Amino acid sequence: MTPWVRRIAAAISGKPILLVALLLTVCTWCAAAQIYWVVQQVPHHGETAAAVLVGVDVAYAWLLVSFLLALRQDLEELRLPQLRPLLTASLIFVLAMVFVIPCAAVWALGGDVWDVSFMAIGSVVGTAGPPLWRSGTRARKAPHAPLTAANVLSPVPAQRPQPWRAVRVALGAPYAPQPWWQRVIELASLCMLLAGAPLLVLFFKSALNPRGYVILLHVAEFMSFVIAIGLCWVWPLVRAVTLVTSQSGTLTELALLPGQGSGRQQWRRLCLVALSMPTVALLVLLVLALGLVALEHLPVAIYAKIGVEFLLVLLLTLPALANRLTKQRAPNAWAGAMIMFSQAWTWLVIFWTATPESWRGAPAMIRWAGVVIIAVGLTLLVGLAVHSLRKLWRRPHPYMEVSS
Amino acid sequence: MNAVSASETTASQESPVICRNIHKRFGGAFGGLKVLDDVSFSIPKGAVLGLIGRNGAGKTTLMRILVGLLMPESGSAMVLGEPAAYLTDAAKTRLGYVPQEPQSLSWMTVQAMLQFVGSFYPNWDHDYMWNSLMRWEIPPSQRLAKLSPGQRQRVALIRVLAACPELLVLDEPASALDPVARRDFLREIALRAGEAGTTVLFSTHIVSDLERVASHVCFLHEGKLLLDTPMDDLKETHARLSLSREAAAALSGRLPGELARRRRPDGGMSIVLTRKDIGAWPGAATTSGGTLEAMSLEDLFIEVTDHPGAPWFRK
Repeated sequence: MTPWVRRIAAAISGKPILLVALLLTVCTWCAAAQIYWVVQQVPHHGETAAAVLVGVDVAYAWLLVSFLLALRQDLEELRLPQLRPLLTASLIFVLAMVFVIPCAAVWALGGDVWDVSFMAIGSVVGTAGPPLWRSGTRARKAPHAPLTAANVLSPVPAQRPQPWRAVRVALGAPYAPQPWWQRVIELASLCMLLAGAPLLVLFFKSALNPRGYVILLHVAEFMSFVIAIGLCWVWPLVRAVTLVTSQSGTLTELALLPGQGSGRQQWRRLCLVALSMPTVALLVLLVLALGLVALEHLPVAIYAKIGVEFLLVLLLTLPALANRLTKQRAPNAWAGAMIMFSQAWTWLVIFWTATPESWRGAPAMIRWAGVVIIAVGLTLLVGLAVHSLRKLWRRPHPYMEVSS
Repeated sequence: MNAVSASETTASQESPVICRNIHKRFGGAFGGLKVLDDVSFSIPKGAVLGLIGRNGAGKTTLMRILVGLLMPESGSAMVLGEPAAYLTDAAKTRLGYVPQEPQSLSWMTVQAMLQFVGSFYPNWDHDYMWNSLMRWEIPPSQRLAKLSPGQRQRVALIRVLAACPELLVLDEPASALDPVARRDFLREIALRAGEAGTTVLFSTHIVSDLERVASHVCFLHEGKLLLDTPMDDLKETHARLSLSREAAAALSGRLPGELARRRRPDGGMSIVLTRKDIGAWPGAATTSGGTLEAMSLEDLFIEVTDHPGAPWFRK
């Protein structure tokens, strides 16, 4: 084994994210090729297939080249010139993934010269994007004058922010105050994410049989909502909890910052700031889901089902988060809760896609067993939440750890 | 009750930090791990107390209790005259704390973080902040997350020193600093304590740092406070008694003021003694076959803490 192969192996095994990225890339290309092949079978949709494939190619070329640039920057910062072969090997790999494999795949799937050319143009766009983006960002950030006390730091101390704002700043993204245009970009990305998959299914409605279309549409809606709930509700809360429970003093600043008031005031502020934005986002998603039900003219029972689904989101996440807050030195418990949480989502997809008619054929025993399981689960979750909240209430302030 | 409160208030005015019988255990459901065991000490105003201990001795836990980030199982901690768990805004203005691995607000730039934090402190020293950033070559527009551990520690020290606190609690503040920065930082600590009367509590396992600036020293070992003494008294009140093989064989039981003992390969014995509480050296120290010698701080630390299961450490 030559030294640079050993280094590549070490880099991949040392950073599992690289391995995950590679697997993800391979799987996505397989999926994209499959979509391309399927869509080509549908009459009058050949261009759509090519557009989908080129779009995927641009995105992945962008992603892989970004990885490569980050790797180069790391190596430069670490001043490790002997790892240059690693960079060369990565460059060859990325070029193969970005140019050779997509074009060869299109050619192998029966595409003509134009298809291959379009693919190559997509690769060029995706490859050129990250370096241009980086150079543009660097140009924007470049100081126009040498660093001095006068032009870097204001000689007048900044005005003390309100305690509410201080909590938002200390919690960081997505709570921290941001320019309006950044918020608009975030919202637009979220809307695209939410609407992308259902719109794709709607686009191919004519090519699908009616039953398959309904199932596919509901699964697409479910997946979109799961991702949106994850981004708008779970992610901000997990981030806030992680900051508060970190042993390395991530929020030590906030705990010891003057002007934050008594412990109870700190509790109130932290809870309101941490919960307000995700709650508003969850309510907006609920309204959107109910709007979709109304647009599809679905039975009235579906409204109740959607309500229960969103209630389950609260019931599954809040006890887990409260439990994490009380057991700060128990990462395994949190991992366990997350695994249970992910399993729950698997079952929820069945619940989401089912209609009242689906349950009519089920035997009475299964229905009652379902009711009992849900009742026991709810009791456990509510009990866990109450227990955790009682323990939290004993703390003088939110950032203090009490003996477990 | 009133008399006790009054005396405690008076004591707290003289001692910014008073700990009484602090116990702490982690993982209580299954017996757990005892981290602090009956720790009591106080720091005189303007003193620089170096808390020294091996890894896992309980230094960080003790410091987190003192700044109100951790609740002890029992015992009390008074900081700047207030219970550590319920510090008011007034006390927080006078207190500065640097954790072992500062990660606070790491998504902000150095400049934004310092301006944000500085706005909360009435005595924020803007000039000191800027001069320190220049001296330690820290780019103000760099995100904290992108800084090296040493640079992050420097920023944390700048942040805490620019606030001009009356009490500094520093958890291994120099562990990630290079020798030049460390010397610079220790000089600043000595200056603050000497000129501004700042009280400093800092933990370390670098003995040379302690000898350079500390006026008081505490040894923390396996959760117990083994030693709490002014630095100047240390060499006068602590010594090593080396006994020959015959003298060691004739020795029965513990000596008064004995802290630790070690059997040498030649059959003799080394015993660390203190006369802090008994006034004079015990008789065995002056008998034939025994030699009493002064100890350096490092020797004393190694002798006292290199006995994990020694029964004389258990109260």
